[in-house]
Amino acid sequence: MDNTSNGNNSGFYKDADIPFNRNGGGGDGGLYDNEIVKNNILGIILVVHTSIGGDKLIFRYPTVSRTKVSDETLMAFKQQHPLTTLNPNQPGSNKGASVETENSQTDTGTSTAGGAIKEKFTIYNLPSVVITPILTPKQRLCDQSFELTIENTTFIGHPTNLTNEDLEEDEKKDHNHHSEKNSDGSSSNSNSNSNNNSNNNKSSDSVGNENESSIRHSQSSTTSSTTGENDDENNDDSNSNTDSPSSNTIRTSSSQINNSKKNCGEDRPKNQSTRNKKNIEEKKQHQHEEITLFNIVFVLSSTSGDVYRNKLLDSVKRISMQLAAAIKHEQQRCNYIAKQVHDMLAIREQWLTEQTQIENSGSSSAMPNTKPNHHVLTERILSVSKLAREIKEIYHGIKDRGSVSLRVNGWIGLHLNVSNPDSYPIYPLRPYHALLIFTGEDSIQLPSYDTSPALIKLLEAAKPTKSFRDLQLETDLTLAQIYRLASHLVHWKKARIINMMTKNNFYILTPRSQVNYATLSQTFSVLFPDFKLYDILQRFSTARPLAEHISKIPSSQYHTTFLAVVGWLLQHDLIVQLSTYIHLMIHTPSSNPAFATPSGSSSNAGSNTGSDASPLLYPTTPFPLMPSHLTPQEMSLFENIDDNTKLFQLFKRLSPYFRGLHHLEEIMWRENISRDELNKILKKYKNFLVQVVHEGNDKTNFQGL
Amino acid sequence: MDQVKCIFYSEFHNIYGTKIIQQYPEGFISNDVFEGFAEYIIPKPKLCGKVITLTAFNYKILGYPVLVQDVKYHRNALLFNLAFVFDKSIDTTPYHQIVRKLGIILRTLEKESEYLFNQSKAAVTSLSCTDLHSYGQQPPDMLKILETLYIELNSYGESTITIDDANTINVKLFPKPPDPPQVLLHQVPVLIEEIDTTNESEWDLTLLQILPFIDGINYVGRISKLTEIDINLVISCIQHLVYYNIVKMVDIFQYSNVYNPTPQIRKLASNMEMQRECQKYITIPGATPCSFEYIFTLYSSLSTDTPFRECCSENSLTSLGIDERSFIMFGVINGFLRRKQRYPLLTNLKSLESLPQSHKKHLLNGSKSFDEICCILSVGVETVEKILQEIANPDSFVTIWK
Repeated sequence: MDNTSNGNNSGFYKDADIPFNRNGGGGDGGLYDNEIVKNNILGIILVVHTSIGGDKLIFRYPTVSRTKVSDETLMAFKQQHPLTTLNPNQPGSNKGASVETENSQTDTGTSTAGGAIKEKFTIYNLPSVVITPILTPKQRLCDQSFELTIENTTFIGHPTNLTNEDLEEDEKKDHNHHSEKNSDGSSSNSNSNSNNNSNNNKSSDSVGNENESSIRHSQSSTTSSTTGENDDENNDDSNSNTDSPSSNTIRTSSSQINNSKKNCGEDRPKNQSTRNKKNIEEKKQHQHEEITLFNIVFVLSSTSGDVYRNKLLDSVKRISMQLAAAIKHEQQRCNYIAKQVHDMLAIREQWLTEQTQIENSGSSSAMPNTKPNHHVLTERILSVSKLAREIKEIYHGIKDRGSVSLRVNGWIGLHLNVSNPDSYPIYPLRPYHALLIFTGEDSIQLPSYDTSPALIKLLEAAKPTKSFRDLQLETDLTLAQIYRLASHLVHWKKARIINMMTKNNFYILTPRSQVNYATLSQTFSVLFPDFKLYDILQRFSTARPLAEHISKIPSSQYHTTFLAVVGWLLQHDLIVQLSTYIHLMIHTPSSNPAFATPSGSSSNAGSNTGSDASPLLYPTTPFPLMPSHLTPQEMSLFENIDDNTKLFQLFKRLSPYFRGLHHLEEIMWRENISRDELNKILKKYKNFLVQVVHEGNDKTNFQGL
Repeated sequence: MDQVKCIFYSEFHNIYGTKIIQQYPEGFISNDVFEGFAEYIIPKPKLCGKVITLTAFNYKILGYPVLVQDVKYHRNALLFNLAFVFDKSIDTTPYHQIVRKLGIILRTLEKESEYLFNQSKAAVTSLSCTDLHSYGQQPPDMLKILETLYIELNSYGESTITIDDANTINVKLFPKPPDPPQVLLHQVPVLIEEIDTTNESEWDLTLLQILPFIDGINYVGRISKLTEIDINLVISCIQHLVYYNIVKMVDIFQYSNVYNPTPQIRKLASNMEMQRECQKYITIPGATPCSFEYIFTLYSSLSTDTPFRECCSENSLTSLGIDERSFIMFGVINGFLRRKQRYPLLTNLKSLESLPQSHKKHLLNGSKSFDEICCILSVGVETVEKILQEIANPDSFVTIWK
């Protein structure tokens, strides 16, 4: 059953989920996203509001970089647990400490009043008693995106209410549902399941909806397959499913109740009385400690003047909404967060008890060195709590790769991605592009089931040396579908779109890149034991065509490996491709400002050329690859040199592309001409054409957005 | 244009909790809505003195809560916040300074002349109300301040309000350029805008001393030596100039350098003003300027990875009336030329792992250029390779260009 649900749940490679992300020409946009996130995300904080204990900070990852527990936290803890933390040595210590705390509070309150905070982690490291209340907003601000900025730090979350209202609503619906079913008599399973579906749709919000309905779906498929078997079995089946091995006894019972409620289609009326009893029991237990709200908050440092800030914030809002929906669903299904929070809280309190003891003994013996280590707390929580490990995984996935895929509680598939599915670089996908599928850590882990056959076909066929045009012929897929699949892979950072590797390609080492060659060199030597990274880097230090690089490798058996090396270098942004761009430059003395301005009368010269309004020789185009019109001077030149040859006709035809915006491959593709033909033009008209070699414009275009 | 949607003044009342005392335009925020976010307007004391922005209800609420402690207040403390409301799409960072300043001014006013305290009392007595705790009526001055701020900031981007003889509110929106990048010792500052220092008294003393040495040739370390000013002062001073876009940092010009065009060269190809400026900048004074088409061809010839020296001798730039240094400088300043730097890279990178971060061998990890290393070791370019070989021993290093 788990498997079926996985199949339905994993939208990873399915067409329905494919965002049409036209991340073209090297996919530099995605790379840039990554860098912003890397520099900005500080951590993730889980806070809850419990019915009895109030607001509580449960888990903060990564560990705060403070050396000691804040006095405030300890104070609050001592007040809550007067017995366990009583200091036998100094009966009045609590009082003394409270005065101290107040003093320190006022100190910081006034001393920071002057200037802005510069330190990145100051706010993140605030004591939990300060930070928790502001992250658990009032009801009005719940179940929607939450954004709070304090000085240089932004908190983004999706505070989610977990009140009983939902359950009660469910129950009402259940009752209605039952009466329906009874009137139906011996209704079929499929019928009840469809009812179930609609039921769920109503009660859950949009994202949870998808997940939930897919689970419903899976259950329905199982049910239909087991038609004829009795209902009890079905019930057992789903119950056993939800039992996580670590669940403690109290919660298990409630999870079963939750679950049986969901499976009400299979519930027989005679079960109901027992169920209601259980419900009461459950409510009693809830009264002990019930989580009414949870908020998983992403903490970001906010650097002003960042163009991408809003985009990043939107992405993080989307991510936290997805996460909140998944957790909420798990909570409703099997009390997931309640159990996890319970476990984490227990450890936290135990740890704080230890800390107060250390403090007490420390204050008596004056040993400041035995200050607590927050890492211990983090490690302990991580070792016990699944949710904590999931938070850790999300943090590292988002920070390091910009995307993460995990299964919350081993059940709900969650695919989070910082890239906006609706943002893409302005450079379009072209048939001369190729798909570079990532290797190593970023490689695709293909699920063994339910992957789109088209995607498998594409993955098998794709090579950096094959253009999309080639792939289209080989895979028999339409170009549009290949683009979609490729964009999907790019969006999930499993591939990159590059210019097809040909022998004419020029590559150089990425300018100014600050990468850690030491670690890269290690992975490199594992992947390519026949090559040395420093040697390869040296080879790419000067711009040479790929053919020349290959010719320098004596043994032809290594040529394929060498191409893989080039792919690897591209994947890790160690090299960039250079392209040749052409500028039409006509020497027209009349318009040349140089001859009018030797004496410095530049204003007159400007008016001569008729460019008063705009200093631009030709207008910039709204689209980066729009062909440009010729200026009158250029037109007259063309009239002058018209020799009625075919070559001239071609030259004239190509002239709109000689503004340095279209590289040779683009021109060839646009006008459907061969490299030889283009070279002939470049040779014959070299007096008017200037060739400039530099890296592609994809990145700059994206930055300019 | 009207970016500020509302300005309100809020206080913590010891009975009714956080309340809006005054707002302009009046009635913009209902009490009902306010309760939803009141905890972010008057937060815990520890969060006072910090700019807090909450995005909610399709608005951005920007405030600066202030805590003033004195026995004369209820609970011995006055908590207030003068907050701004914006549309949620607006970048509010330029307003951070303004709310901070307003908060600090109000606190000063309160401390010096009990402005907030007195006014509430005055208002109350003028109404001959017996209940001193009631904040039901507020002094008109606060509303006047809010109104003036609202109108003037929205229309002129600045506001001046005289409170009393001693205190005036002066706020202005400033565009905030991004923080300047680090200034490195081996970089050369180049003036890209004239500084008028005729009125010397207005200028920073260090700046006045440094300025004559910013000639596009001296690098930061050298300026420090020549002026005998501490290197950190020089760096901070130059960083300020970079921040205000008066100075740009470039690499030391050498004939052995390799320069490459960048995509920015398209701007040069299309912008006639830039072309004219380029001609003016690179032509040796008195010489006849070269045609721009030829200049552009010269720039494009840098596409091949050859040292600039060769380019000079091939095309004999000087005889064309082109100043070689200016030729490069113009490209670098305008970003359409980029210097290809040399980086030493250890062949045995594994040996770095066991070494502490401070070990000199880390200079060879491929992230430090020869220029940087020369400055760090304070040695010349001629001797640096030899020294590095000694450092790398028993391994060796290769040189990569990027």
